[in-house]
Amino acid sequence: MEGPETLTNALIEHLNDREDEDAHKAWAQLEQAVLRATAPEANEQREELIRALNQELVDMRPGRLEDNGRRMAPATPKHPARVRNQILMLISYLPTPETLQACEKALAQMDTREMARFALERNPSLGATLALAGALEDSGPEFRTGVVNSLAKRKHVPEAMAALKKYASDPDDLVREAVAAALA
Amino acid sequence: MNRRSFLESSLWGAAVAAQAAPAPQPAPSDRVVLGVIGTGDLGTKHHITRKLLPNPRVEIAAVCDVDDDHSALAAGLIRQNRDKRPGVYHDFRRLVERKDIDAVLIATPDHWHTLTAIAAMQAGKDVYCEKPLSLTIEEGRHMVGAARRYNRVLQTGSQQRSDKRFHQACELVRNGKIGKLERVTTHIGDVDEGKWQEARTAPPNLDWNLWLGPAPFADYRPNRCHYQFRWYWDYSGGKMTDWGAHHNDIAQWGLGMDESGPVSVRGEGKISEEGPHEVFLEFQVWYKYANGVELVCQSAGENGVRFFGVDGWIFVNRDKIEASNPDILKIEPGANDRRLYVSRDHHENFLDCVKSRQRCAADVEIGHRSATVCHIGNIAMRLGRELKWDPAKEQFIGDDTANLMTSKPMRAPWRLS
Repeated sequence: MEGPETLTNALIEHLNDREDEDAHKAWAQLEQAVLRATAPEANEQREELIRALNQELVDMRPGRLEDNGRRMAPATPKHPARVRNQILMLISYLPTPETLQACEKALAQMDTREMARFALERNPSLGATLALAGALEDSGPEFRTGVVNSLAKRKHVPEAMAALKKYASDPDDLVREAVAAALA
Repeated sequence: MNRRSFLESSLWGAAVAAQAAPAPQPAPSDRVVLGVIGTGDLGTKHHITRKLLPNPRVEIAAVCDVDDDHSALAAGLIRQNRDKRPGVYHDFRRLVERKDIDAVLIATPDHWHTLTAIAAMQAGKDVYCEKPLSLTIEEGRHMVGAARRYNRVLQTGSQQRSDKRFHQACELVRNGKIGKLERVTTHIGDVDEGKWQEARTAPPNLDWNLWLGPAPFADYRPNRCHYQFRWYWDYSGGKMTDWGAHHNDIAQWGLGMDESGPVSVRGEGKISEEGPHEVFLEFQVWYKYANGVELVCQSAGENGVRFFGVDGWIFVNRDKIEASNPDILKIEPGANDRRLYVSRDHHENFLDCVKSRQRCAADVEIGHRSATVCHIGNIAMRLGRELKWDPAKEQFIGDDTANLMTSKPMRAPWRLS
């Protein structure tokens, strides 16, 4: 079995540790590394972190044969939701086109979509706006409310306002209220 | 209410009754009908027991807490002492709907200050809100906006503004009695690393989901909740905001920066390697103001604030005021000296302002600016670099990540509005 590619990959592996102390140690190191890598002169570290975080967020474990070889179980994410949400929290400090793609994928998954929304809210790009606007479709009222609240922070972005206007007559009270507050 | 709670409430009730010597009844026009949101230790022991129940101007009409044991305890105390049954609420939105309530006192964890305060102000209530006023700089600015838009009185619970020692120190400094001010140091204490506890189901009396509110979901662990929330970024900012909101507030007062702030900040802090506490355990943060004065906020040293001028120094905390030359403290204000806002009791000042519609000793802008000093200190330490701050625009200059950290996304359905 191959070992982790970089120190970042190794630390992310440790987020899975059963002992709280060990997992926290990895988290504290990762958070500090990410925040320090946002310094203008830290290009190299930032790129390495983005690469590793993106990879660990979307990596899947291949499906396995089950039921005496009669059925192929679907592939599953490499990391549990708790760890993927931690990765998204780190990614939220690195709002780049590269992390945008990973966030979009996480936004489509039930167990990571809320933290993906947080990360996209912090990403000022048009791509993030469009990803959030797209998430308004086919989602339940609570999540839709959260997305409306994220888009509401982009009052100066026409695409965000256009998306919100479509939901001004949403059947759900909470969503309608959130849209009304956003457009006020 | 369980037996322990009942016993405690009886003891506190007796204590309050003993304190509450017969006082002249205030005119009905002078009374303020209050709701208390957040009735944990601070809300119940400090505010209700020591400050509100002994005050005949206050009628506590309602209490609210997401921990039903807390609200039951507070309601029991009020019933014992006032012979009136207050409304008991689990959700603050129901309390602020009540038309008969004039004002609310908010003593929730920090991550709830802004949402509860804004909801109350939108409903026409005046607000006494515990410090630190906000969890983020964006939240604080929204609170200021709401107070002004709805014409509400807001007192920040930084009660040192109503303490005569701090008042005297700041007035002396502002009037040049220690010469030109060069440096201020604030000493606010450290934090331990904490101990891990197993994640578990929250007790039935506690609505953990509502306690988390706008914060990201987290498993319940007892030492992440009541009081201990101060040591987790999702709910607070550690000693920097807990005590910094007091002593950095005094520094701002002494500097005459109530509506402004520093222009640069850098800091160093130690975090726990193994947790669970996330905030800085020990730290030192250096701020520069536009007039060249340096503020150094640190965990070490005797708790208090020290002002250094070219001609001497003044040290002040809740127990004492000292100066490099004791004669400095004997100086009476001259006719041309600048006089600072006088308040001798923080709660009375709030009640007075509810009636007069004047701004409080620790008005919302003051509370927001003092909390901002603390927040930018934490941000600088977390980023590990010096930051330039524009206090007029309330933005960092040339640092997108730092600016991103002036706000936090909120869990649905919560939002700033």
